[in-house]
Amino acid sequence: MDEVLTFYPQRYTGTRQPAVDESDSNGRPIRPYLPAPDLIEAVNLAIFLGRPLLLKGEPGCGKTQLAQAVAYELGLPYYPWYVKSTSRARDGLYTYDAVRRLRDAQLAASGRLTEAELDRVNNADAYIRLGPLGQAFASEQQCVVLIDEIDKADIDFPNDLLLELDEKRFVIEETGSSVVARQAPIIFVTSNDEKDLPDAFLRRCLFHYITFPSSEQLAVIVEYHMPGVSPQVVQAAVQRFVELREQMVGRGDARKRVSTSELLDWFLIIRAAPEETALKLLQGRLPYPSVLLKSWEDHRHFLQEAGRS
Amino acid sequence: MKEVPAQLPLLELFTMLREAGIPLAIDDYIALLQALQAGFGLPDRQSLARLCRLLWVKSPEDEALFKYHFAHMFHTTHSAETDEATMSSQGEHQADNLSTQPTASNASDQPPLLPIQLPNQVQSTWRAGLVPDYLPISQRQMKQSWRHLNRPIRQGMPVELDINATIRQAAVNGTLGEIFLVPPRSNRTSLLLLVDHGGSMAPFEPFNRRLIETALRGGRLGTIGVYYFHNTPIDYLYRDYFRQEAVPLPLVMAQADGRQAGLLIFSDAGAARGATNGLRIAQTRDFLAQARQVIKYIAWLNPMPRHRWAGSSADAIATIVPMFPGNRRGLDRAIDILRGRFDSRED
Repeated sequence: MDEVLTFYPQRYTGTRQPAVDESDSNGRPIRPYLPAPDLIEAVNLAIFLGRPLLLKGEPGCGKTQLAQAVAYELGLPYYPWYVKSTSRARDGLYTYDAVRRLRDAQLAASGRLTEAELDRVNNADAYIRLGPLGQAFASEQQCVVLIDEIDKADIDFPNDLLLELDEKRFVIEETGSSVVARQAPIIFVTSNDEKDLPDAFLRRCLFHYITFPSSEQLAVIVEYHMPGVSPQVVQAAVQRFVELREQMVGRGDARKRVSTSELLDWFLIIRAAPEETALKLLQGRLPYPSVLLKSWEDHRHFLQEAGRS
Repeated sequence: MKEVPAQLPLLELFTMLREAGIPLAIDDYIALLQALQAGFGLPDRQSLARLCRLLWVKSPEDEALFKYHFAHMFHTTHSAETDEATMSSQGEHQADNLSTQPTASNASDQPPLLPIQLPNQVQSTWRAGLVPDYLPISQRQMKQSWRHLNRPIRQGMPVELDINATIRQAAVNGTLGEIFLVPPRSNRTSLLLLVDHGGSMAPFEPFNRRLIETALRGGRLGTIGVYYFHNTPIDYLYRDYFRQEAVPLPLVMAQADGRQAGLLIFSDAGAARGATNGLRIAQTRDFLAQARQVIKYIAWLNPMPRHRWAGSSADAIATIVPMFPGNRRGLDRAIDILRGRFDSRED
């Protein structure tokens, strides 16, 4: 195996991070994303094989942000699709505005349209709007698509997408035209693991479970998100956080535990205080517990601990 | 005919995993070969394991199987492997301990054996899927059967355009006046699952646990109520395993959601012990009469095979309610009944 082919279109390294005040096309700030090495490998494998990457993990571990980070680093267009419980598979491909067409047809019949608008009524394509996946297929260059929280929808939903994911094309029934993807999009799928996904869908995806980062990784993540903070405060905060999390792990399996996104929110408040105050706060009782403790059980334990000391 | 190359990498692992029950196809193996050719998974054993995991492992059960077989293939010991923290559970640790047992006596530099309680060990190997599945219906098959219980009904906000009705109206009026909207279809199944627990049903514990778990996680069902009873459902049903939280029977019946509700009873109906109990038959008959007033689709799943029903209460009860043995076909037919499909075939 000394002839190793390293030819594949794009390679994600997880090292290119946005600048502090950079924002995306909607004007929202882009936050840095630091993936673990096995996650980077999973992304590259998914890109190479052309299969969707299914991500599971605790809430707040960064499943949803990965797709945008990959799109940012590789410089590709990004199409997110946030699935709701009422979503249909076809909506992600295209929607056909039948109501509007009927109304326009009626207006045309009563002679209240201009020439240009009349042309539009005759043309069915004008009433087709491509959804995120449809836009990705129709695009000239390779795109990144995120299908977020796929387990929220009905169980038929993943199965309805199988043909499109396999053959990278779909047919618009109302006009009969088909849209074929010139370049297979990079597809990320996230699931909260509330329901089991059908086997046929799972077979086509690569699966990766995002584990909770170690303390060192947490410290690095915090420093990246909030540059210019004293390392002692970071260390103290991360240590406190990890202790809290281990208490939660020790108490029970099924309940929600503090996640990375909560750590970042919490740290945002802590860093507002000057360094000595922050350090002193972190020594004593857990400061700003309402950011981290989201259930009555956790609060109760916290109050008991506080009462004891 | 072309000769198969002698050394296809990891073909043995692939075959072992397939035989252990992970549904892999030849595409998955070819994908592995493509990835290896591109340079993935080459640096060390762990990255090879990661690569195989990415491609082949899709659930915690698969993970346990994979870890065992991968270690088995390379004869690694528990201490040598570092923790790959994807979905690791208690069961896996103990499965690894189990794999060191046979080799410990051979080698002299093995780590000292940890004291392991036998019941835990046995249970965890079963849970890790290392013991071949002895239940007549596998988890996957059960999930597939439950998926058939699908009754899509239009419910919710009217947002979907009913084209036919709108056009019909327009044709009648000559102009496009009104637009008709209907609620979208979604699955609305209401299922009551009553499980006989304890006593003669004790050996069927894993079966009923699997049945409940696949029903709840299947994701297709609208609402499911799971209740336990002992021998006959009379007066009270229990929300929990140990029959501590009682709910009166009429209340349970009232919770059945509308005309679409189905009732599935999982019980041996006396077939396990084999005796006929007149009281049991009478009480069951009363219960079924009461249930029929509220719920139209009732089916009974019996874990004992059909030839064991003769001469027991089950025989009598089978004449008043559709009863099916606890195999794949039986479950499918019971679910057909719950869907409202009339089952007229004799078995």
